[in-house]
Amino acid sequence: MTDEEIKKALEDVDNYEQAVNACLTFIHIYRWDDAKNRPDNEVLHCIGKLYTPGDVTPDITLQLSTIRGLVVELKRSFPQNSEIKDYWKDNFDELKKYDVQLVGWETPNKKVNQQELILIVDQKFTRKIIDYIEKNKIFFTDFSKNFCLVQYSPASGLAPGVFIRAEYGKIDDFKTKTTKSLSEGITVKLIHLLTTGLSQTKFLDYKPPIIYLMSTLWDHVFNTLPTAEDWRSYNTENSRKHILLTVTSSKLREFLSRNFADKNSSRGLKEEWIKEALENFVKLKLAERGKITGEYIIKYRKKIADEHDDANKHHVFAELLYKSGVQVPLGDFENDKNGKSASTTAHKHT
Amino acid sequence: MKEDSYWLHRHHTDVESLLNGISSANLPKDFQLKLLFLIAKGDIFKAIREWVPHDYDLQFLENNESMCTIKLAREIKKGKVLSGTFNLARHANTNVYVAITTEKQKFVKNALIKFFDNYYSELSRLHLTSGQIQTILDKLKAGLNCEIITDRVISYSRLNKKKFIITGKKPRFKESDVRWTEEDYKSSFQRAAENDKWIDKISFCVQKENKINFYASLSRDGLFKCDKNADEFYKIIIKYLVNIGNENIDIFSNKSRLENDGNIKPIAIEYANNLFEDVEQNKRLIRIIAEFPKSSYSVYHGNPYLHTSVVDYVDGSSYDLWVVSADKIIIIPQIRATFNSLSRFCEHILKRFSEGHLADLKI
Repeated sequence: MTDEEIKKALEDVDNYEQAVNACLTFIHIYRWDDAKNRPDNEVLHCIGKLYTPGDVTPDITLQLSTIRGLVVELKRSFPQNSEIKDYWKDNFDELKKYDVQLVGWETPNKKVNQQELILIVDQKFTRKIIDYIEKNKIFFTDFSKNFCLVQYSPASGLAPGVFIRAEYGKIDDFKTKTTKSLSEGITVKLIHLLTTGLSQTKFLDYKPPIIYLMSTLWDHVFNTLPTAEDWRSYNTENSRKHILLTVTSSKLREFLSRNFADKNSSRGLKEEWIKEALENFVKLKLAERGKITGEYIIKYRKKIADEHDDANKHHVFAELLYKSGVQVPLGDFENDKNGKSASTTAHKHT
Repeated sequence: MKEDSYWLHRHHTDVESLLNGISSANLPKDFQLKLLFLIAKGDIFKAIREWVPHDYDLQFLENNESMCTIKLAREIKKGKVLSGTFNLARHANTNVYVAITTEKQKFVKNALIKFFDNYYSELSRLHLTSGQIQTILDKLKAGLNCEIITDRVISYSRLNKKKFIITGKKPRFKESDVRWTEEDYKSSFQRAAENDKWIDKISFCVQKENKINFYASLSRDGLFKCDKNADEFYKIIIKYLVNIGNENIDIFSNKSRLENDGNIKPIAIEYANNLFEDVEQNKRLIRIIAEFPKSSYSVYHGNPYLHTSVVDYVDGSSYDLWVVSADKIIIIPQIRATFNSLSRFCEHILKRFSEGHLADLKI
């Protein structure tokens, strides 16, 4: 059972990374100017920006000009639907909220006259979603000029990347991104995401898998907190096996949001997610709770466990949490932006 | 000798004057001049004036605009002090420095080098590739119109085997080879390249019309030695070293996300061939990353492409490392990535994995 949980936790991380890459890929496709062979800075993008009415936060918005914008929602998974109860209705009701003239664009009146709505999904759901849309006669024509269902899948091989293809509906042409090219599919190599700087985004505006968050904190955040003097002592005092770091969930939230989430995201990461990660470090005896609420003392050290060759922090944390049974769902921390429990949703995933 | 060496360092305002003085002095037979080349992000003079590591004592004997004479003492054990004199010079309008001393190797190894190692956030040794060492020898040969005969070569093999194991000891992935030869230096480099070895150090004799001009040695970590005629030696090599130093300074400076408003500044190690078409190279690279001293690493993807994360526990620098094309390694410095750490990490890969061309990754 624990092996199953570890496997599932790692799959969850993989899905999350693929979703991040799919978002970045879609942004790259529209920002990249093939004629000039460089990103077009006139194309503005946001991840998780707040719009009205309804205080909605589409996963991505791309402002192609002062009159045209793409509103993009990415769904990495859908629950198993049934004849008795329609579990997908909520998802499409949410999407329907974007089928209005949104206010919050970077234009003088904060609006664009031409909005197109795009739903991006993992390729394994494409056929079922098209069937669902057709069967239920779902249209997004209240304000949106077009609706398009786009699928993503990893492009493997030595030059890895993400493959994106329009599967249903359409998006109007934009430079070299035409209905034809999108329906034939576009592969964006990861190297392009690295060189255009998009890769610095590691988080979307919904909850990441906890071991993914813990690994990012350990490898990219905690290492930046000791002072030069701390590092000197760590390297000269042989008896010292760790550096004690006092952190707070709110400061870590700010740090992660500033450095690893989209700068225009209205919320960045939620503090509750950070607290859950920190509580897990406490369970693993890698941290202690501080004297004030939200404060933790991290026992930062080189080796977390007996890491084997080809160590992978996701795997290390998954093994520590699930194999020893210390990980229990923290109900209060689980709410994602749709008010769903991430762990509950995970169990329902097809 | 001690007395002589002390006075050799005094009353000079620049390196040329110092080396001329040394070359014209009556030197003992075992005399050896050591030159330690350093590169820095900023002003080393300022850095060493502002802070001195706790077990060192530093005394500025003379101060000139581009060169200082310094007496350095290090307490290596309680009551046991190692001390010596050196000149620290800055090459005109650059951040390439050279520390010059006539002291014994024991002082250089246990006091001088370790002293500069403490300033890891501001400076680094000037690391050289095998190809750059060969170019220096080419320049010496052409500049002095002489023969260069290899005396001793220390090279290391890049082992392709899964692990090179010595019973009862830690597994190793490199094998040293020390050769005493009397061959032309080009043969030594050719043999090393053919056997996938890197040259760590080469000692040689500069000979003109069957007369020995001087003995010298070059090492890839920027420590050069010379027994006489150091002014000739220095005059020919310095321009090229400054060029290498300036290129490296550009590549390693201000690459952290902290220094770039959160934006990434990736670096590439580019290879002339499609090295990573063989996926086994990913595994070999992972093993070499694992051997980067005082670090931890995490492999997020190993096959067919490579994504690892590395934390350097010397100063907390961290990197994402990617191999997503057949001909290059991409290093993405993260929030903290110091000049020195980046220099050491790149040198580790160039030395232990394969020598490629370092460059900023073009966007």
